[in-house]
Amino acid sequence: MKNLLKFLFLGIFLCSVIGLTLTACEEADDCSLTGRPSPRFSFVDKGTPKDTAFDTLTVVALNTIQGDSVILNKLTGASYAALPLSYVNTKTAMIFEYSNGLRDTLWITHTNIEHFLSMDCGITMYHQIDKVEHTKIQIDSIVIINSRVDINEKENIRVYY
Amino acid sequence: MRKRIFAYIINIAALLALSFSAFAQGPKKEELKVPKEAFPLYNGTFVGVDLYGLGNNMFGSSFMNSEVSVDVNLKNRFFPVLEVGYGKVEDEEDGVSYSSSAPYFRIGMNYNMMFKKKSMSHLYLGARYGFSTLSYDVKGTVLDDLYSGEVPFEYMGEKTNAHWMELVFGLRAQVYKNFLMGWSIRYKARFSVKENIHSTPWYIPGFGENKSSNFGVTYSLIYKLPFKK
Repeated sequence: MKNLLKFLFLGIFLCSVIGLTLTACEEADDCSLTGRPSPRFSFVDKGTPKDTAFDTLTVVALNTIQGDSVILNKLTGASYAALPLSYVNTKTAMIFEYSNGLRDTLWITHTNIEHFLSMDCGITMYHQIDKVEHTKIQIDSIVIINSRVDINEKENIRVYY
Repeated sequence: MRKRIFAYIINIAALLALSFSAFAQGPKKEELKVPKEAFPLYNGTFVGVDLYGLGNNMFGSSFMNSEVSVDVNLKNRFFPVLEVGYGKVEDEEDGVSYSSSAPYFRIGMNYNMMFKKKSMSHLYLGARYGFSTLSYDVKGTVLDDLYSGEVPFEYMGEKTNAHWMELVFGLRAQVYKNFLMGWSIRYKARFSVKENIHSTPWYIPGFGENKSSNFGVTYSLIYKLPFKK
C-alpha cells in the first residue's frame, strides 16, 4: 500500500512536470509563411535573360474593397514581387505603372482553392493560374512558370520586357 | 630416488585431488550462474490502460485519447507490445471548427533495462510504429480583406491516413499483487500524413498535432493476467 501511494505521488508529480515542460517547449505554429499565398511575378529583360530593374514600379489592384488599391508603391529596383489575387472572383485585374509614366494592365484568370492549414493558421486560399492576358505597352510577353500558388514560395509568372 | 618417487606420487595425488575438487565444484558454480538467466521464454501477459490522455482532456486540452496496451514478457528482457487507442478532438477558434475521432494502433517492443532482477518493476526503452486511418470535418469561412467577399468553407468526412514512429522511455512498478503502474515519455516522429486538396489534417489520433514531431506522456494502470508462468 505504501508503494502504491509513493508511486501515485511520484507519478502525478512527474507527469505534471513533464507535461508542463513539454507544453512550454512546443513551438507555436509558424504562420508567417501562410499570410496570403500570392503569385510571385519576376521581371526579366527580353534582350538579356537577367532580372530587369525598373526605376520604380507601382501596382494598382482593381475592384478591391476600396475601389482601386495600391498594392505595391514605387518599388525601386524590383526584380520580383508577390501580388495577391481575389479569393472570390476568378479574374483579377491589376495595373503596372512605371516610373516613365507608362502603364500596362494585366488580367489573371485563376481557380481558387480554399485550404485549411491548422487551427492556429486557419483557412487560406491557394490558386491555380490558368491564363494571363496583358497590354503590350512595356510588356513584351508573359509566361506562366508555375501555375500553382500555395505556401511554398516560388516563381509563378515571368514578365518579359 | 625414493624421495623423488615419493615427491612424484604426492604431486600426482595433489593434482588429482585438485582436479577432483575442481570437478566437484564445477556444477556448483554452474548452479550459481544459472538463476541469472533462468527466466523462461514466457513470463506473463500485461494489460494496461492509459489514464493520461483522459486526464489531459479534463484539464482543458481539446484532444482526448484513451488506449489499451497488451504486452508479453519474454525472458524478462523483451516485451513485444500492441497498443490500441481511440483519439478525439473538437475545437473551435476564430470561426473555424474542427472535429475528428478515430482509432489508432501501435506495435513495437520494450527492452527491460533491469532484466536481471526478478521484480516486476523495471525501467525500459522501447520503440513503436504507429498508424491511424481517420476522417475529419472542418467548417469556417475564408475572408478576403483586400478584394472583399467571403467564401464559405465546409468539408465533411475528409479522409486521410498517418504513419509515425515513437521512441519510448518508461518505468513500471508493482503496487499491489498483480497491479502495476507505469509512466512513459515518448518522442514521436512523423513518417507521412496524407494531405487533402482542401485541407491538411490537424490532429492525428495517437500522434497528436500534425507536426514533424511531438512529445507524449502516458500514465497507465497495468494488470498482470493471472495465468500460469
